[in-house]
Amino acid sequence: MINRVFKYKFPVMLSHSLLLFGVFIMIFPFIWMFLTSFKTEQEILRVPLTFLPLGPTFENYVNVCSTIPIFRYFINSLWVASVGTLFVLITSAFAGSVFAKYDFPFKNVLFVIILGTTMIPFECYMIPFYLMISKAGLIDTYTGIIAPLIITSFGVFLMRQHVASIPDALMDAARIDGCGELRVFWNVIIPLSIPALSALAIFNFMFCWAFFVWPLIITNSADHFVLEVGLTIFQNQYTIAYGPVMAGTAISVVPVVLIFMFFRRHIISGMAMSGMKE
Amino acid sequence: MRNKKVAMLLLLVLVVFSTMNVAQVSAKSKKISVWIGWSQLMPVYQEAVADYKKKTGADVEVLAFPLREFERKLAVSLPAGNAPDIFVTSEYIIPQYIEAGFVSEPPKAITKFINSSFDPMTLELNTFNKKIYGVPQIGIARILYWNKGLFKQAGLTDAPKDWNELVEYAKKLTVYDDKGKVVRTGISLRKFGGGSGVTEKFQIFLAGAGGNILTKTSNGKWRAAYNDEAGRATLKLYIDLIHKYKTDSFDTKQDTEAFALGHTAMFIREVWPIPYFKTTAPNISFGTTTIPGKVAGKSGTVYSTESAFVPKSSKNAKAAWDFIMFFNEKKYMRMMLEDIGWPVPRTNIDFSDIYKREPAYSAAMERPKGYVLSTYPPIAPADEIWTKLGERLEAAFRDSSLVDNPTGIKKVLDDAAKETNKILQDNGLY
Amino acid sequence: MPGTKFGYSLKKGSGIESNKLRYALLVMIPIFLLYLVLRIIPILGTFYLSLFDWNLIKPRRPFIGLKNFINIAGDKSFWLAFSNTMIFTVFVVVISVLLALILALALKKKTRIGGLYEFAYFLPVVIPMVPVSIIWKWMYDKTYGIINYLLTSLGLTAVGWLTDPNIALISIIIMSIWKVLGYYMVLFLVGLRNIPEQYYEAAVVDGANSWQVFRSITFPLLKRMTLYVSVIATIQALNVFTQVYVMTTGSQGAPLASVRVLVYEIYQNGFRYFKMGYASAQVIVLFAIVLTISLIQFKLLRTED
Repeated sequence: MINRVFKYKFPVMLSHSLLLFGVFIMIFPFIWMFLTSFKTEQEILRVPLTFLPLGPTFENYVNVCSTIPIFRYFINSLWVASVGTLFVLITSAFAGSVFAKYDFPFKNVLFVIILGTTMIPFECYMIPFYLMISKAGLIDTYTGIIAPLIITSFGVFLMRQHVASIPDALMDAARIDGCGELRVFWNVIIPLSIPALSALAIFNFMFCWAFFVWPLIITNSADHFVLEVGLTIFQNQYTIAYGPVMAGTAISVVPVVLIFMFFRRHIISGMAMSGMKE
Repeated sequence: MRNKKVAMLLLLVLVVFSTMNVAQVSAKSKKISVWIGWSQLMPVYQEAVADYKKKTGADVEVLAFPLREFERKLAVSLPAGNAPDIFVTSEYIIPQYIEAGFVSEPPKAITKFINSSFDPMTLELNTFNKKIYGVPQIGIARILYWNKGLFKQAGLTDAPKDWNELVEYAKKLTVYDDKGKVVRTGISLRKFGGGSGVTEKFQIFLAGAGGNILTKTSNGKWRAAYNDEAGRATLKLYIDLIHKYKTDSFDTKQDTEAFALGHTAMFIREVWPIPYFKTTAPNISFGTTTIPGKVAGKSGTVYSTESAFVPKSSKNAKAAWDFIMFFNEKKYMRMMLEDIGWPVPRTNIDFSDIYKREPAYSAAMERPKGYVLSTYPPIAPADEIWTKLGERLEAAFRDSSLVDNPTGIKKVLDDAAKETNKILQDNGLY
Repeated sequence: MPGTKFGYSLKKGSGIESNKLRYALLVMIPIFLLYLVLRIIPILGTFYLSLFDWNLIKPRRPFIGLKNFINIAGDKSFWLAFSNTMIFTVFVVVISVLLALILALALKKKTRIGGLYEFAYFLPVVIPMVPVSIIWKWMYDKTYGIINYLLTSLGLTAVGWLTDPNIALISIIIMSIWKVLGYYMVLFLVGLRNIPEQYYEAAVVDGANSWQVFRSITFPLLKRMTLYVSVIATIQALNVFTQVYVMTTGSQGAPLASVRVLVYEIYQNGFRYFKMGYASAQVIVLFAIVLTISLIQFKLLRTED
């Protein structure tokens, strides 16, 4: 009796405590950032350091909101990230599913090319890209900012891997029922891909939200700044104004967290789908 | 189902169109755009912008970016023709833009103003091929900060006047714990972080020993000059302070932050820490002084400027120069010094009351006899040379085997000079 | 077979097959065009630039052929960056992918509290890299960062996380693992949830223990996702830049030589020294490295697609 309890409960308790320890490590810097955003600059640099703010102050948040038009920047980031993610979902879902379930000339070559383009970070070909955008007259426009964000090989690759595991029989069944390929896509592939699409949506939104090098280079008017670019004003060459940087980051993190919480449900809902019989 | 498909397609089209339309709506209104690489200067610019709007009704938009990002943006935008109407940058960044023909000359009246408003050194730094292109906004000579309270504790009354005193004082000011580890450094030297900054601080001491990083040869070319007697003495000073006498440490807090916390008694920097300490360390009683030279009475420091330029591609050139002149009025220049701590090298503005209120600023304007101002050379590979030398210096500063090792020191500098000269050769400047 | 071209049936009679081909082309052609304009052409532009000696600002641009590549071969700085990047990649990819898999397996079942765990492990992914690097730079501070604060209060000696050249790279590795772990965990969760519950039920009925279940059910069915995670983890690790950049700037920054990575090298050459041609050549070398390693991974983790 005792042996069985030991064998069952102990590993569970151990795994729980390890997980909790991991949680602590994961969220600690986040908590630290949060607490710091409520401290005065003097207190932040103080030695020995304080953990909880001595007298929590909102001055950093006030500073951030009054120094930069944070609402405008927020909306810009939201727009860029949403449009970018929408396009990525569409292009990845279509391309990924076609790679997984269809054949066409030069299919493998194309896949290697698409995957290959992701192996070079954007910064490395940013100059030719900029010159192209400049010639197209899209400098300092939202279209120009979003342009690099509408496709991602990570997304195509993910959807390909995911859709490959969808049974062909399901698709054939739909075709026999008279569905054209587009409807097969809409009725069969998409519903079964909700978890992967949700994960892609979260990741992509986050990536677009944090993307700042390109928007910095291409925007020339303050009302087109995205949030991450706007927040760079607090990092200057000599010092970092820790308080406002932490406050600004705390503000900028909120929507991404919300998006994550929203899409997570859809990732979990995938569990119900996995019980499909062949 | 088909309706749904159509609806989705329409949504897509709508999205694409609105993306472009929103862009058009926020189209270029006739405003003067200014780019700067120092966000600390924003308060002054914002006040000037507000006043300018009241006076002329014109809109000015000032964008500040972190320095490296600013330089990157400028490098990409200017050649592509997407430049602002005004940008402010230093005399060692601008030469290649001038050479490539992107920078416009000021109107005659403004050139006259420039020639009569600045000291010879500032003018010389901003002259390229006998022409002046920009209006100097800032001129910064690096200075030495010393903690009066800690000095008093150690029985010292004044800042060091030469290297001997510097070393002696540093020794007296260093505090160790019972295990022999440095707890408070006598001096906080720039030993690492940001490549060219390391070289720049080295250059300051080098100037105090009568040396220089590069020297110009008789046929207008350049050569590495820091592997001479003065350079070796400077490196020896660093090694002695760090390793021989253990008055500086890699383990403690560094530089400005250390001084603000009272963890170092001396350090060298630009002028901005003065107002910075007012907000972050109001209890520190400190003084500033010109850099002590190897020998008293013969010293030097690094001096650099930032100037406002108007690109040739600007469509608002007339308005741009007008705003620059407006910004250069007494009111805003005084704000630069008093509020932000950035000295303005104007000879025709009176700053004396500011110096009375904050004596610490005057060290940056003092030019005692025999005080040399060392600068960055106006050549394209300057940044590369400074950065690569900085990395070598970083490694050397960590090397305790260089204590009392003149051969080792000579080798370090000779090897570095080989690299520097190669870079100069590659750029046709050797 | 008569009436076929490229092995694809274009016969009018086989309606479904030609429908499929038509659909595939209808989808892939616009997608390919997008890639062409937004990726391929700029990247080819970079390849083209690598053959020149270009200063970015100067209009002069002499053609020097492969000279840039020859210079790379002898560039000590580049090869130091190469070895640092490889060390970084091996550690980050192996550790983060393994840990992510273990986490995903552990969290697969617990649904309610599991949600909270998932959220917590995903949080680091959510914060942009620049603020994350600033926070960690600060936490790593030798005398006054919180990590050493905790170490010393437990009686251990303080560590120069970013100031000690031998440890600096390890510190950045740790922080990078922390940052991506949740990302790969979520991906594995997506993959795990694709495995029908019946398989597990059948295994339990057959009396299999958890290791056997993992080996014969979970791992094989997870192979696709494992391939995906390893490939993107490797690509992202080989392209590391932002955290190195933030942690080495300023007077409190880490010594550059010990943490110099390939993309930083490219950035420095391109945007600090304005040697765009040379930097472009370095981009090509980086690309070749990433491509080779990815292709090796594809071969190793081949699935019956």
